[in-house]
Amino acid sequence: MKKQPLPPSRNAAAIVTGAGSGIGRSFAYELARRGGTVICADINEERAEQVAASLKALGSKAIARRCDVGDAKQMEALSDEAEKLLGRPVTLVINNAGVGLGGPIGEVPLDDWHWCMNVNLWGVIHGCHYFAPKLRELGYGGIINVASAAAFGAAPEMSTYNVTKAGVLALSETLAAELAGTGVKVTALCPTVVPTNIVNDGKLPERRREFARSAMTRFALTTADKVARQTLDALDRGELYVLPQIDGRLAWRFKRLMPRLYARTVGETYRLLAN
Amino acid sequence: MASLAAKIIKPLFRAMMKRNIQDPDHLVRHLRRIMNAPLMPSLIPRGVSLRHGRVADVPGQWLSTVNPVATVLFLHGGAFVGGRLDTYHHFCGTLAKALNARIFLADYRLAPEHPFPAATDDAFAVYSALIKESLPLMVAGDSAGGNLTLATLLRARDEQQIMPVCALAISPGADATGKLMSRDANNDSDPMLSRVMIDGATRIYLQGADPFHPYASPTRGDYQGLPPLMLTVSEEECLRDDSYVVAEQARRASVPVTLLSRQDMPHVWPIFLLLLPEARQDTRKIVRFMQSHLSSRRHNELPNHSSRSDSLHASPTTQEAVA
Repeated sequence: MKKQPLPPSRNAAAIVTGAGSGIGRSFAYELARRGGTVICADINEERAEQVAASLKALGSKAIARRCDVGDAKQMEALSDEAEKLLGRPVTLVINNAGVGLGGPIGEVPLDDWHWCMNVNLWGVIHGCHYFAPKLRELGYGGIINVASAAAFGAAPEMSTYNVTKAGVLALSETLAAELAGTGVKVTALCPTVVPTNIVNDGKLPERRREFARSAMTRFALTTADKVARQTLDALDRGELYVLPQIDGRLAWRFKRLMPRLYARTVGETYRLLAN
Repeated sequence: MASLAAKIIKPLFRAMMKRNIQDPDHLVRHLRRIMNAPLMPSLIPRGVSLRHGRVADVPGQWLSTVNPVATVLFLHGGAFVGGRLDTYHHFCGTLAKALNARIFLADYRLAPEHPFPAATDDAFAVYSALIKESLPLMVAGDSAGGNLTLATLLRARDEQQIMPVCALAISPGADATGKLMSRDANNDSDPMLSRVMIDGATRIYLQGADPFHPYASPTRGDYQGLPPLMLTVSEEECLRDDSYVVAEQARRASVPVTLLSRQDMPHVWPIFLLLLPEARQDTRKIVRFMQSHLSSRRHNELPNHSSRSDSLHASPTTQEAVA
């Protein structure tokens, strides 16, 4: 009988981008708990070091690296040195790094558009571009791209964010198709509100910041830790879509059944809530 | 796996209660608005009567059966700044009926108008009055009331009063030092409280008093000579470590401890026994705990049965974890 390969979340040689806080940090912890070695990449080196240090304190192997995912050169360098850092080929890539950007279309400066597109979309593109061929060659492993329910949710005043996440979702779906049968699994995570640093670190109009912060406290149906656990389990099962919260699942169903009514409902609801 | 009811209730609690309010006046207003609203209907079981009364000049309410055989002093929660006795009518009424007891719900003084140690003084005054009466006494409380329960036991021991039969603390907020890890670790997962709320309420309560004093932080107390203790705590709440530290301290002093912990429950879930099946199960466990210590006390009073209590206290470290 042929030996079954380990599920990709077990004993992984993993790279997590944006591992310094939020869902990325939870991924790093959960992978370590499952026996993995993790490269914690973050643009904030101090945070990456903290996470790597606490993983080491818990007895796991972890490496911290400063990396701007939007910069192709840095991602290329990371993909080149990853095998040496981990001591074996990379088996799991989690393209998690992302930033928040809000504001009505026309008011958001184009520079901010570029900044957000660069991190959220190009960061994931770079991750897939440099790591997918290696994984395909290895014939084993996984790629998790952190998209968002914003990818299909059409939430108003979040156009940039929605665009980038829709791109991430499309990329993940394509990748799943391309890598089907190679032994490499692809999962796209689409959460709604998860309490993380995304509001504090992101660019939002001041009048919306307080609302976003309190929404994160009041309406979060899950935590970053639970999301990470659920997503890794789903990757092991080979599931492409992970929608960890019921509001996201309802929106997904609603939109697929009645796409035009969905957009109108979202718009009207937002007008009621925001004013 | 939590029940469907818990899955529905938790997001509602979160939307209603959980905030990150920094401003103390705003926090007091918020906590009072939530805790003094009719959160739970006042459903008193048949056979239990309600009347208003005073013990040691502290106002409160009596929930009593016709011929009670025991007394329970109940100290309500509400972050030391709020809380409404009616919220506890159903839970305490159920306890009173199951134990054939009378329960005094003490309406102790609240911060910020009456900061620490006013609440502990009131709780202790009521305790001192009730312990002198003929019926056996038990002490119970939830959240901030759990803190007062433990503080009252420590103080009663310090002042060489008689100990109660047993005590119950439901998700006690037993540490004012802000050093416990679960405050941060469970800040996101707690469906009701956040670190900011707990720290804010603690500052409002202490108003500069020493947070390391055992009557303010019972986690810092010495549990030598305390009666059997039952603690309930949710694994996902900010106050998780308070119960674990208290249990550890008590075990070190050879106090029999029953720690009932559950996954995925809101803060002080046993009092929501109208809503949650888990609360109904655990209220039965609470009743069993109190009943067993009451009956062992009764047997102890008969001269020939004095060894009975040993079997009940055989394992001083009972721990129950329910997934």
